[in-house]
Amino acid sequence: MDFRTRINAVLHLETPDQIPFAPYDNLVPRGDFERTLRNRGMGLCLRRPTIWEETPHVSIETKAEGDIETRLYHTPKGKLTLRNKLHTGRIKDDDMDLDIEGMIKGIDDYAAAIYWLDDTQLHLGEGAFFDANRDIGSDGIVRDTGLQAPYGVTRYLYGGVSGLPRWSQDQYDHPAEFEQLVQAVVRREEKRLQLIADSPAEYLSLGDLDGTWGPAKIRKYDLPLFNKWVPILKSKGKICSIHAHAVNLSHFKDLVPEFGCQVVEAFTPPPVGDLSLAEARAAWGRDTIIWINFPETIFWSGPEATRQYVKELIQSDPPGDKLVIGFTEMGTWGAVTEESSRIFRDGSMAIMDAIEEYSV
Amino acid sequence: MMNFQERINSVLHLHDPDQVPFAPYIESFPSGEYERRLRNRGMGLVVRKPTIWEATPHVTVEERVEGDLSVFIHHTPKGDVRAAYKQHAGRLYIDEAGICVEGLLKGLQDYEPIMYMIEDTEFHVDNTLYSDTVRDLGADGLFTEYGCALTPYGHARYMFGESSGFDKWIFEQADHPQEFARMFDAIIAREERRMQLIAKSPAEYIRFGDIDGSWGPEVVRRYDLPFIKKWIPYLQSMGKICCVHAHAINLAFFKDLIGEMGFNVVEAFTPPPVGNLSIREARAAWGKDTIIWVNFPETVFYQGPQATKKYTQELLESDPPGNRLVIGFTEMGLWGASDPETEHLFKEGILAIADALDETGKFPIQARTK
Repeated sequence: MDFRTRINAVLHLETPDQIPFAPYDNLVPRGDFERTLRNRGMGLCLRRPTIWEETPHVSIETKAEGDIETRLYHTPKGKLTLRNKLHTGRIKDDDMDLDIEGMIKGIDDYAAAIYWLDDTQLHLGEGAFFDANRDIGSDGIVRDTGLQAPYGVTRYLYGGVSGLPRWSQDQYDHPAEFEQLVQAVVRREEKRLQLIADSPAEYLSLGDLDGTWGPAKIRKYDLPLFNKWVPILKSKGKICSIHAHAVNLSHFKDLVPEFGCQVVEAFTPPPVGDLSLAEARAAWGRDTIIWINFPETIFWSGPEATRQYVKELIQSDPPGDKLVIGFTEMGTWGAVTEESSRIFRDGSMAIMDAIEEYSV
Repeated sequence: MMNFQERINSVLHLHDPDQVPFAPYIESFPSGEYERRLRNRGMGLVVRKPTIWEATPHVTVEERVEGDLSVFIHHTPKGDVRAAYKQHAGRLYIDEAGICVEGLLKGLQDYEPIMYMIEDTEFHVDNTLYSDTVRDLGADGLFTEYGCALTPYGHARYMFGESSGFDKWIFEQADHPQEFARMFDAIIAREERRMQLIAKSPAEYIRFGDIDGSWGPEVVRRYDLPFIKKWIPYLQSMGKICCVHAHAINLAFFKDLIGEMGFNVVEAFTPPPVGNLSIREARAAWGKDTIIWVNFPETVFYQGPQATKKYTQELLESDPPGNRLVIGFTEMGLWGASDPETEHLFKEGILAIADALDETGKFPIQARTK
């Protein structure tokens, strides 16, 4: 099978010829090593959102001070300030800026933030999908982005890491106001989902399981949206995935099936995550597709240990027809020194060797 | 058989490659099964990235989104200037940037704020972009330092926008020559600072400005040539290999000028029927050691793969022995094929180029004899 046929066999609950090796395209940057792996059957998962956003009544003012960028969002309800550190190198998988101060500092910013959320207009731009799909051909799969889980969005509005304490406190100190903020995100995401239902993409990602907050919050804030929309999307032939990159996923084991997604993606097995593939399979059933984020820390044990690890991973989930191995966080992109590059390349090659040897 | 990196470096270092390199910009060949097939046949990827980033710490930029239009208002202590870009325009430009529909400089009142912005520009070096990219590419590509992609006069021109500001740019030089000259001097001062950092770039291969063809050799001689003649010998003394992006389709008018510029590589050279200068004429004008890096004219693809192969073979045979020649795509490539019919034509055409390179592009290429 070529890669596209193989990954589609898994996604459509048919039988592939072997387990697909499918990292995000940007996590194995183009070059001789990437080409070697692709020649051996590795495919690429391209994440290409078909929706673009605008907030027509909010202007954004930007000021740069060295490598710090300050963004001021001017809304009729007040001003929001976001600060990013730029030019940080390969810290995040998407080359994004690093936020050091979120838009929301406290409930005084809620009115402006809710205005900004409600002002968001979404547009479906299908060209990016069609172009990417035509380009990649049988060497990959193109995924659309379908939902930003509302509770998680509020966390990031406070800032990725910088705003975590304030976000945690505000929802207890000001629950009524916080509820209004979440509902504004829900309104925006409802609009997004209406468009996504008509996306030309078959394979969609629907939010993430971060692990920074527990199942109770997700059941309260996010699950109703999943329970409403996942059946609709499925009825339109979509294959839905959740980006379950939490390293404490065992605490979400029972919650995951409630989302109703066909694919649990970014699943990171031990020793990085705390849920084994065998336990996950037992909990989620034989038709849930588990898309592994391979834990790169294994590479530091050497290629032989990596090969053995992959062998055991594969053998822990027979017959292997609902399994994908990929990189969803770092990959060889994250190797930024000669030494780590060599170790990561040896390790990635060991994954390929093991897939060829044990998954056929 | 050489790998791509050995092959392109042989050409750039004036040695003999095993065959003419096929070296498009990386953006012109998006990842996919077809791209992989061509890379397996020896095609390399050219990555253009700046190792320098810039900031204007005393200028704030306000962005307003109006439908698919992004308006940027630059607030300076000397006043405001604004530019507008059409976004989500699809694959019109190779870099998917927005289309500039309104440039910063629209009249006399805009010179002072723009001068302030130019003088406020700070440069910072980030060499990780180089080291990360070179490590990724390995033998499959070439890194191009892209920090000085425009010459000073080119910078001045783009202050007015792209197509939208063209008439204003022409009139301003005649109507307000003093203001234009002051702005140009400010750009030169800024670019001098930039070049000091470029000279220390870890990259060996440097893109240095372009020949656009929208303005003539006289203007280039007046405004850019002194700057080029100052910096190119210096960069070359530091071991750099310098290229000019000569994408003008009226390059015949710049033939003598290019010889004066002293570049090692004339890149984006677009031969007839799109450009008006043949490789043979260019070689006669620039000498045997100037590397001519062809931008393959995609229009040829519409004549079919056989005609494309023949065209490529004649192109190769017009420049024997072929050791200072590179074939690439610097404007569109497969990226520009955005419908199934065009994609089919382009794919056939590009394979025909690869076939011609395999058959005729081996060093030394024999001159065509009738």
